[in-house]
Amino acid sequence: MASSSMRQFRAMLRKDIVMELRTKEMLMSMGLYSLLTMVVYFVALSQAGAGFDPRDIAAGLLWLAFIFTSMLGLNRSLVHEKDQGCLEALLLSPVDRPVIFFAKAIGNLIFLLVVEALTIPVFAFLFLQGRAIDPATVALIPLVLVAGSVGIAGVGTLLATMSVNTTGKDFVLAMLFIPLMYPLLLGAVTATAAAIIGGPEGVSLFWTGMAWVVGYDVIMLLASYGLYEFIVGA
Amino acid sequence: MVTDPTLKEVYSLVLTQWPLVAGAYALLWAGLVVYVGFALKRLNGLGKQVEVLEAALARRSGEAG
Amino acid sequence: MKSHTTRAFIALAIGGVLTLAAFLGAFFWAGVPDFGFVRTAERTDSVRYQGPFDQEIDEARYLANFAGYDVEVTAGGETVRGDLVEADETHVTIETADGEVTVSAAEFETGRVRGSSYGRPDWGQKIFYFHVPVAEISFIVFGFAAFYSIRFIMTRRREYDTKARVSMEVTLMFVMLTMATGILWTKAAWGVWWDWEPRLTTYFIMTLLVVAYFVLRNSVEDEERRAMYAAVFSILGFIDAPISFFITRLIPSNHPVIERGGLEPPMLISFIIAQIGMIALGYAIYQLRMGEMLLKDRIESAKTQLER
Repeated sequence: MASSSMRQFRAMLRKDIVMELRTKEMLMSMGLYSLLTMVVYFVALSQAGAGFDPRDIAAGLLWLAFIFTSMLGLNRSLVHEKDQGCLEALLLSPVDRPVIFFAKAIGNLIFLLVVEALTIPVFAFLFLQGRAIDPATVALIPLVLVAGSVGIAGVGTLLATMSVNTTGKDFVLAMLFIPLMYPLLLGAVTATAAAIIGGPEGVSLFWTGMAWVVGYDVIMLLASYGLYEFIVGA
Repeated sequence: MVTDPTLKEVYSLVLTQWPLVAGAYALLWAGLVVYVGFALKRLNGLGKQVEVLEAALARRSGEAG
Repeated sequence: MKSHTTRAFIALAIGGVLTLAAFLGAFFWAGVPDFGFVRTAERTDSVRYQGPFDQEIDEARYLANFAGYDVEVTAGGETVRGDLVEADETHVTIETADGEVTVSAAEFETGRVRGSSYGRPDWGQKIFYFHVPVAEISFIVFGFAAFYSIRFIMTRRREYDTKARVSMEVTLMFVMLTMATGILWTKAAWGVWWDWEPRLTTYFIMTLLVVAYFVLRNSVEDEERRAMYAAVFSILGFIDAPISFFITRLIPSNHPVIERGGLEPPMLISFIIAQIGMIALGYAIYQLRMGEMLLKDRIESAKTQLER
């Protein structure tokens, strides 16, 4: 039983990845979108003056880019499923509902992490050149990145499954997603900002933020996992 | 007329808060009263509709039976 | 249905009487607490003198309420002392012996306000008797909406969806009232209309969640699907709202809280009466809307029968 679930899960995940490798549509759109966000950031910050230190708001800017990029990706990944009738076909087949949830969520998580890994160096190159950064604490950033993305992908997959069946698709997703994400975003931005600024206080603040993100992940992912069955069957 | 500067100050501070407190109460009551008023009005209209429709239904079942 | 309207009217009458009683109690029975400071050079006996005060201010905008007071501001390494002309988020203007000096809020380091402290009645506190009960009801009714949503998921009966939706409407109503009274109080007490302060921020997030619930409902066409989606979202929202509340405990809040045993009996009794009255009013609104929903159902079924 467990092994068959595992096999189904792997098959579904492989399908998503193979399709992505063939078309590269999601990675391309998400990557370019986050690059465009960087251009908007540059314009937004162009009048900030010489005294402005981008490190102060770097964490906020990064998560802003991630949250909007992830909404684009989540919407796309489920619109595909729906347009091609994949989801309906899956529901007819004897696949456990939680398996569908985990396969979709982990697929989204992988794409999101790839885009984040590409965005951060670009962001650092464009905005943080020549700024002193503590390498010891910056090494902690991948932790909060993964923890935050897990929450975004998990809750986001559930919400996107709902929003693709509504008339207002992406608007509805944004309306549901952003308020629900508030605790995670606040924790993630706190932790990332602490890691960028560094120092012993930074480390303790980082772990506080990290604890919030992980707590949010545990609670909200359990809820999403429990409720996905009702959404996908409705 | 208040001539004492201290009292004048005290009263002016007290009075600047008044419009806001009164405004908050006005908004609160207006909101509740308007909402309940509209709900009652709608309820009334629906009640009349139900009466008409169910009377028609009863008449028809009377004719049929 | 008749029973709903009857219950609504009874609750409306009880709620009306109790809230009116609470209103009278709050304004004519409960005392006005002392709050704030008055700048005067001389001591007078005409107001309740409490002694000199000397208060530290750590942000320029907190000086907004102290126009005319004797202030000392350190900004950009320099200290300026004199009478405060005005202050807001952007600048502080002080009248010194040598004329007016303006300091930008960005350079503001520390400030001090000096004066004499008097028993200034804090009328803004009167909001408390209704703002707090209304806010509490909004949480309770949100809880009911989540409860009915769980019931709906378990039983798939349409009546629970209706109940959840009507509860959500009542929540929206009370959230709006809390926001409106809160914003006016913020202006009265803090001198600004809005502050991104933990309690306010999280309540704003809750408002958005409630609005999102209706956005979701309005954009799903299929009735069963709409009910299921709405139920799932209201459960998620109800889990999320407390997380939002607790996460901001990372940051100290300016929002006042009641200290244990901190209320005098007249204040406490008025407050409790207001709470019960507001619960009755919330229940009345809920029953009114439920009655309306059931009438609509009856109209629908009568219409379909007539069309046959």
